[in-house]
Amino acid sequence: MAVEFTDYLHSLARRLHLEPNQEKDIILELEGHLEDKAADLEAGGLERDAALRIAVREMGTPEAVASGMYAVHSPGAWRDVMLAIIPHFLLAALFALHLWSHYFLVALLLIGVALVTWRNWRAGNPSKWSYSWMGYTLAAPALSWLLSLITLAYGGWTLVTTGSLPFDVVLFVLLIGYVPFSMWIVFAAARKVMQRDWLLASLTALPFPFLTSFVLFLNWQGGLWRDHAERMQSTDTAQAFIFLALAVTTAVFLRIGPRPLKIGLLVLITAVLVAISAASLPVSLGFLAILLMIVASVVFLLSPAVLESRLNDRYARRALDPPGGQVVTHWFNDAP
Amino acid sequence: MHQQEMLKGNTESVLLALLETEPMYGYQIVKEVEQRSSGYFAFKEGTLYPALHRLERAGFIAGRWQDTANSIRRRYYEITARGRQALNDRLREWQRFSRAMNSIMLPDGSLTQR
Repeated sequence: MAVEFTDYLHSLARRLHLEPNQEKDIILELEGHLEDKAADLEAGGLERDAALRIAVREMGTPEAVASGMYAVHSPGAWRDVMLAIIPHFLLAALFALHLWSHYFLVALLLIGVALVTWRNWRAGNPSKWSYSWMGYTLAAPALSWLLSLITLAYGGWTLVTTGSLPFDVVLFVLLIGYVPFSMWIVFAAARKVMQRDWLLASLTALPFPFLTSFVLFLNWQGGLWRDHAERMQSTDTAQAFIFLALAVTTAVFLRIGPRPLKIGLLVLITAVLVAISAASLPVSLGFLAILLMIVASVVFLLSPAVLESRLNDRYARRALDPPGGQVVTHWFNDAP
Repeated sequence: MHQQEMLKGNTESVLLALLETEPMYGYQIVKEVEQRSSGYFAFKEGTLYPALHRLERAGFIAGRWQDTANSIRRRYYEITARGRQALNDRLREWQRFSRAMNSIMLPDGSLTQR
């Protein structure tokens, strides 16, 4: 079988970024088309390899075909949209009602979100709506990892400079254990999200820049556990607006088809909302600082694309050089 | 090139019209278009499948898998009641459009060789 033929189907499958069943059906259908066309060309006197090469060439580039299929299949149903925006609305409500400093309530909310996410993800085929839920599920371990790291650094620095820890040694030891554990949770989940599509990983990470800047600022303003609520509540309206905007962004993201539009939407909205978020903080940030925040947030949101590209390279190398030395000739043995 | 643009603008109508006669699979549709138009139109194959899937998602056609003797699985598409209704609407629009175009492009009512 022509290498171009198998390469073509591999390349197409990697670029579809759809649900596994949809990808399977599309590849099978196009494989059938290419086989039919090659058989016709062979009947006209061409060698099989040459016939397959021509069939592949006339189908169009894998990028173009995958892009067309993605635009058709990626828009979610209205049910997906409605469910996907719920966690953003819940966060917006927490800020609008000035309830975010009631940590017990926030914890209950996050546990509820995590349970819904877990129920949807445990079957191995998560729904389109569940990616935004996954984002808030990962927020707790990701932010606690960041705060633990800051606390550890502070404790370590104090230990080195003064010879004693600023807090209990048991807490120090617990934090040393918690940092890699929480990082492992976040990376394991992020890897699972990226297996499907780096752009869905970006959608998952959409609230992170805002949650991170809010929590870091809170920490910097006197710690999370002190009497801080009064001052930060002046930013609640802006925060509520930001999470409402994230809900609208998620809805538009799920409804539009073309991939470049989805990427453009995430980049644009993130840049605008980071600027609004920075401007709403009760400190004066310079233009350069806000610009750096925007760049860092956009780079963070698009970073799954780089990670996925590396995963794909590794996958492609495995496909070209499989363990048994056998070149993959058929994609799916269990056709529908 | 111009005829490809014209076909591109009417891809979905052409597909519905073809599938009204009988269920077909993708490659069969490509050949049928070439044959019926005596080679004038040729589907760009990579754009055919997104169009078929778009029609299926809209509920105008329905796809089903069928095995062939040479172990190739083909996805046959057939028009649905909703698709027939859409086709009728498009045919009526096409007739109005072509009458209007003819009255401009062919004012004397006859096609003359240029």
